[in-house]
Amino acid sequence: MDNLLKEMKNDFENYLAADRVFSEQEKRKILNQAKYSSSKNSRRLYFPKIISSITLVSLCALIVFLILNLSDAGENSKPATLHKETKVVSEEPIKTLPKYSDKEILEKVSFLQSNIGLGFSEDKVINLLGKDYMEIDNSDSESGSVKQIGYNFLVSDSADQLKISNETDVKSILNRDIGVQFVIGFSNKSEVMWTTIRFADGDSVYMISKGLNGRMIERIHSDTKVLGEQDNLDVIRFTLTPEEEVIYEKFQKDLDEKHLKDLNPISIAKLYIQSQLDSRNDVTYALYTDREEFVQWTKEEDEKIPESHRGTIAQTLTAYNNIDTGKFITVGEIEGYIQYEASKNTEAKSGFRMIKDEDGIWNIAFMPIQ
Amino acid sequence: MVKGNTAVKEYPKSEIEQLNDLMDEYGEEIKRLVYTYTKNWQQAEDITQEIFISAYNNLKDFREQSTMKTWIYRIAINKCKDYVRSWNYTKTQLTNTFYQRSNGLSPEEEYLQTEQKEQISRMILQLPIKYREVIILYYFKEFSLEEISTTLGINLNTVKSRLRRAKKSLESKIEMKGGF
Repeated sequence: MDNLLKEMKNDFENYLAADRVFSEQEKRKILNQAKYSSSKNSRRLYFPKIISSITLVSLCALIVFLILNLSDAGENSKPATLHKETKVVSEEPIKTLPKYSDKEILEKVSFLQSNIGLGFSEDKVINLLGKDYMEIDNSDSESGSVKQIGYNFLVSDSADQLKISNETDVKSILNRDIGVQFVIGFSNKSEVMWTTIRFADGDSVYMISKGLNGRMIERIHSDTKVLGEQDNLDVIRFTLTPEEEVIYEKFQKDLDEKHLKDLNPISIAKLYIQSQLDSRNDVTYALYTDREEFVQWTKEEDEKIPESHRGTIAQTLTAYNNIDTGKFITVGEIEGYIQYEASKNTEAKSGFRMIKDEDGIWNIAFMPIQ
Repeated sequence: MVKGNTAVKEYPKSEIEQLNDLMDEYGEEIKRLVYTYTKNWQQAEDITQEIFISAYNNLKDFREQSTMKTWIYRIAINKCKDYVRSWNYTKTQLTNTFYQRSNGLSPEEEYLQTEQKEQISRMILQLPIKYREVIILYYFKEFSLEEISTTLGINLNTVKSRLRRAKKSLESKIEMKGGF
């Protein structure tokens, strides 16, 4: 037994986990928290020092004042000048950590999207995400929530940890000072009613909202410009209806096409786009056609495609903009395409090609944009 | 340190830098150790975070009477034991059991199909904590008996007897499975 156990060190570690389990991201999170706690502690430590210094100086001044007054009694003396040595207490600036990469930010967004569901209890959310949150003023809420809390994740400066309000902190997000801002609205049963995730990708800030009305991702800021309804040309957003959201959730879990059987081709195309936005490459591939004559590359080959070749969120949103208002046109028995107007600036319409598989479900053609 | 003709003074490291070094050195193994108590990676992540924050807050108290390794392990094991005693642990354990995937095989079939060392690893994780921890520290973390005694805060003879009983318990589990 002794020898067997001695030989087992590596086997045991492999049994626990074959890959590394302590990530760089986790390390930075701890460093951030440590800096945050030390900045709080240092403030706490300085206060008593400042108060006692002031008390001491005042006491000395009083004694000197009394002595001078007593010794000068009866004489026309000049007023005594008291010199106080002022000690400047300077707090060492909190150093900032290197900013988080867009890849790490998107991984966090993906984690939040997959792990925080509607209906989750407040306790469960806090258990999962930790206690470094801030309660936000909910009085203007039109969503029916009775409480809102916000988290700042992947912050490069611990001073930004709890810098959360109802407004999107575009500047900090764009500078990657704050990687991800996550706000949750709770119902009167303390259950998650809606969530919003704000983050940057490239030079744009995005907001993903999830609630009873489904899921929506929209670009809310581009370059130096905050976008609004008046900037119709720049507003790009993509939504899933509540029904599509439910099916997407089920499909991404088991990739079983039976979930798609009642969906129209446009909704199936939307699930494909959502999977691209979520970087769920397995889901994206599962939505391609299975018809042998149309398959252009295998799943194994697909897995080897680098992330940098798969397009950014902005590229995906721009390419499929307005697809939900498009029109599905069949071409023969098993082929069809969605005709839609991706951009109002160009006259040509876009086409998104689809193939009807043998099970009768419309799937996405490889390289679908025509 | 002398570089060319210029003497360069080595400044003491800041506490944040020390924490950084500590995590580089022990982050991976501590998280793995924590998992052997929690058997849940999410909890292991949270507890690992607490351990390093606690180590950071107590860096000033670290006396070089013990090694850094036994010091950080001691903090880790204490945190893990706090967790195991907590209500949350019981709840998580139930949840994990509930969601444990079954491959549809009988225990005998499963036994035949899995590797011997994997089986033993699983058995080690099923041992009571007091036996589990001495096996892991002694055989897999390469602690000496004295170091285990310091880290766990128990006397040397207790370490020895726990180690003996732990091995005995493993042997009987293996025998029950038909031996190897």
